[in-house]
Parts: sequence; C-alpha cells; structure tokens
Amino acid sequence: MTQSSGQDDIYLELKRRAVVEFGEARAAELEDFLQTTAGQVAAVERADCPADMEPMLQD
Amino acid sequence: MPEPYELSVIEAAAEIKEGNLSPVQLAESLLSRIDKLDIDLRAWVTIDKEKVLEAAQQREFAADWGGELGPLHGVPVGLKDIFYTAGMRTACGSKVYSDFVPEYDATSVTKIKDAGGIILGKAVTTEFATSDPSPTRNPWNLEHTPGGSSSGSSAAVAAHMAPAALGSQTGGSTCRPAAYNGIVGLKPTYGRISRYGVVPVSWSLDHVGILTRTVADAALMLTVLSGEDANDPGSLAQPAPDFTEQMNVAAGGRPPRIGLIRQYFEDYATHEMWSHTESVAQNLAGSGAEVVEIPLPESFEHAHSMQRIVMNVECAAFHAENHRLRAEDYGPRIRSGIEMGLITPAATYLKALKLRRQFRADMNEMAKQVDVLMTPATPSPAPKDLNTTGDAAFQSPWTAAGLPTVVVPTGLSGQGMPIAVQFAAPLGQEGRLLGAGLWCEQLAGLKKSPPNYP
Repeated sequence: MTQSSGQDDIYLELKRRAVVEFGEARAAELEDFLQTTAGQVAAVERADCPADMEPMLQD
Repeated sequence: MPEPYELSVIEAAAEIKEGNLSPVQLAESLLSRIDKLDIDLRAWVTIDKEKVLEAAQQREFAADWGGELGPLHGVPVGLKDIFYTAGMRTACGSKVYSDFVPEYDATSVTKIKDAGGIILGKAVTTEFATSDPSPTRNPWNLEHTPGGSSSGSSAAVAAHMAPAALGSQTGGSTCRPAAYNGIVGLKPTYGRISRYGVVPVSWSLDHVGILTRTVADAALMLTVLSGEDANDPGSLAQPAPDFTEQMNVAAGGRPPRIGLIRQYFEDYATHEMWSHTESVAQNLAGSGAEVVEIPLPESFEHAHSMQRIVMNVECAAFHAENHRLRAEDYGPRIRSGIEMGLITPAATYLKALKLRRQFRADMNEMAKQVDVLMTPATPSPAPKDLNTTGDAAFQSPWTAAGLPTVVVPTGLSGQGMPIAVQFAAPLGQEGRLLGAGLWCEQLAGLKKSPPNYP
C-alpha cells in the first residue's frame, strides 16, 4: 500500500491479509469491517503531514 | 438530612467530617440501594459487602479518633472492572479475563484509599472497554442504552448507587455514557491520571475518566487522582494542583469566553441536540459569557480515521497472543477490531501517529483562542437500542488530541432522556475547564434524577 493506493486497492490488500491470517470463512465474516478499515486507511494515507514529523504523542 | 445515598462526594465527606454521618451508615445505605436497584440496572459485577463494611468500620474508628481526615474519608467509590484491585477479580467483562485476580491495586485505586475513600465494588464494563454492549441498563429508561464502555460506572452514579465512579476513555467511554445517564463526566488531559494497573485498550489513547453527579465532585476526584507516576510512561511530568481551587477561581472571575464549534457538530447532531446546544450557548451569553464561533483545524478531517487506526492496532498488540489462542472467546466487535488491527500495515499506523501529533498541536492552538470550547456532548440522546453503546464521534477527536473535556447535563430530550453539552480546554487547563463547567451547571440549575430511581 502506497500513498497513491486507492480505497479499492487497499480493501483488496486488507482482504488478502485477512484470508492469510484468519482463513477465507472468517475473512468473509469481516466484510463490513474490511470496507470500513479500508476507508480509514485510505483517509490516513491521503492526508498530508510534514515528512520530518516524528510519531510521538507528547511534546 | 437526605438519605445518605443521595449525598454527593463533597456532601458525604463533609457530613462525616462533622460527625453527622458515619462511614458505616453511608456504606450500608449505598449497599442497600444497590441490593434494591441492581436487579433492574445490572451496573455491578463484583461487590464484597464484608470488605466494604470492614473498610467503613476502619474509617469510622479513624473519624472517631480524630486527627487529619483525607478528602474522601469514608466515601465509597465504584471502579470500572478494568482497574486492578488486589485480591478482587478484574474480569474486564470478558471470558478471557474471567478468572483474573490482580496481586496489586492500580495507582488510582491506591490514591482513593490513601485519600480515605472506600472501594465500593467493580462496575460493569463492556468487554475490554470496547463496543460490544454490556448488560447494564440506562436508569432513565431501561430500553435505552446506558452507553459505554463505562456503562456500569455511569448508571451506578446516575441511580445514586455510588456518589462517584472511575471509568476510562479511549474513544468516548467516559463522557458519552455520562451524557446518556445525565451525570458529569470528566476526561482529563492525557497522562494527568496514571493508567498503571488499568487494563489497556490502546496505550497512547487511554485516559482514566471520572463520573460524578456534580462538577465540584469531579474537581475533587481529579485532585485526589492526579500526579506523575513512574509506573506509567504516559504520565504527565507535572505536579498535581488543587483543581477545586483552580475551578473556583475560574468560576468566580469574569464569565468565560466560549468557542462554540458549529462546523461538523451541527451537521452530525440531531436537530434537537444542536438546537439545545445553541439554546445553552444563548443562556450562557445572556449571563455574561462571550460566545464566539470557532472553526476546526484542517487536520480534523482525518481525526476519526486516525483515531480508529491507532486504537485497532494498539488493541491488537495487547490481545494478539490471547486472540491467537482463543479468538472464539472474544465478543464479535472487539474480535473484529483486533483482527483489523492485526492486518493494518505498520506504516499506516506510524503515519496515523504522525497525523495525531499534528492534530494535537492544531487542536490545542484552536482551544487557546478562547477559555473553553463547547459542543453538544453527543450526536443524539441515548439511543433506544440495547445492541449499541451509542456514538463516540463527539468524544474521539478530543481523546486523540489529549485535550481535557467535561460533560455537563443541561436538559431532557422530548423522550425524557438526558442531554448535555461538552466543554474542552487546552492541554493542562482542567481548572479553567471545570470553572466553565461549574458556571454552566449553576446556570442550568438542573438537578434531576431518573424518575423511576429518584
């Protein structure tokens, strides 16, 4: 997944990971969550933030 | 004097100090209230009556003996069942932790005891403080959700089964159920209260929350609970001030400058909730507050997604081993959340943390423009649906930013359910926040109990 990945690509990659990790049947049960998470990942991926910002919480 | 169970924390502590009420009388009154109401409300999971009465007896001896009494002397406090209690089961509403008995107390539990307080019992939590609904009912209407995840703590305080209780907030788990149950909910600045001995959902988002029936009680509880703790790496390296004093100074000074946030909140709230919030703002302005509208920072756009990614991944990190061994023992929503966290790319998690750092700075700058910010507490009153814990959308951005918030009940909906407003302040400014909350509470003049559990 790269910054340019679209939500559909992200969904497909998450689904692939879900099948590998939890099996096909469980991945099917997770369909709604996969769609929602793909949307959240896409939102994070397309957001701008300074390249040199460190991922700390407290300043 | 009213029945002991009706007293607030401050009132009960004062009556005990004056010798008008014994800690045993107070404990017996609350235990009897619990016996009577909890069949309906299901707010408690573990209560050791003998231990409660034994602790009350010890406090009674201490009060009779004289000497300095702590600020909570003889006052029972409820704990969400994710707080470690030495020798008492801490099951987190889960099968996975059903037999877990901690060997030590959480720091916040120790602080309550050191202040003279009594641990009343463990209140029901949703499973691991996430979003699978708990069996607890809303005392205002048993068909409506009490919210979550601090469902038992909130219902217990609302129904006068405890004068105060501890909750936690990773998304909206203290302030949302407080609003749904018509009580005060306080989420302090990130790191203000130690999380040592609190079973985590998400380390970088978790806060200890306070549930009371008055703003002044919340200030007292915050003063007792605050302070740096070497056992919690997220703990604020700041001394704990007297928040009651700070609150009184803020409330006694000029009326606050309030930033009403219309953007996002007006669109997302029901018409009733937004109209109510505007009406409260007008009342505050009529009493001297300066009310201005404040725009949200651009980084707010990604706040909910960022918060969810961080929460899922950190939750998955904590539960990974148990999930691998016994996934079937988790409830459907937490299990799915863990699984989403397990398959989220590490780079996405780290980017979410970077975005949060920017968001935190932006939100703090926004908050500094005024004394306090104001929004509706929730998008709607407590939904008439026991399969949900409600919507945390109006809490999770503040949780992600670490800014302190307080929810103050200000009215009832057309269906007779509590509605509330939420104030937020810059990082570390709980005194100012509580001052505005107290001022609003006094103007609202609302002191209502659930009609079936007065």
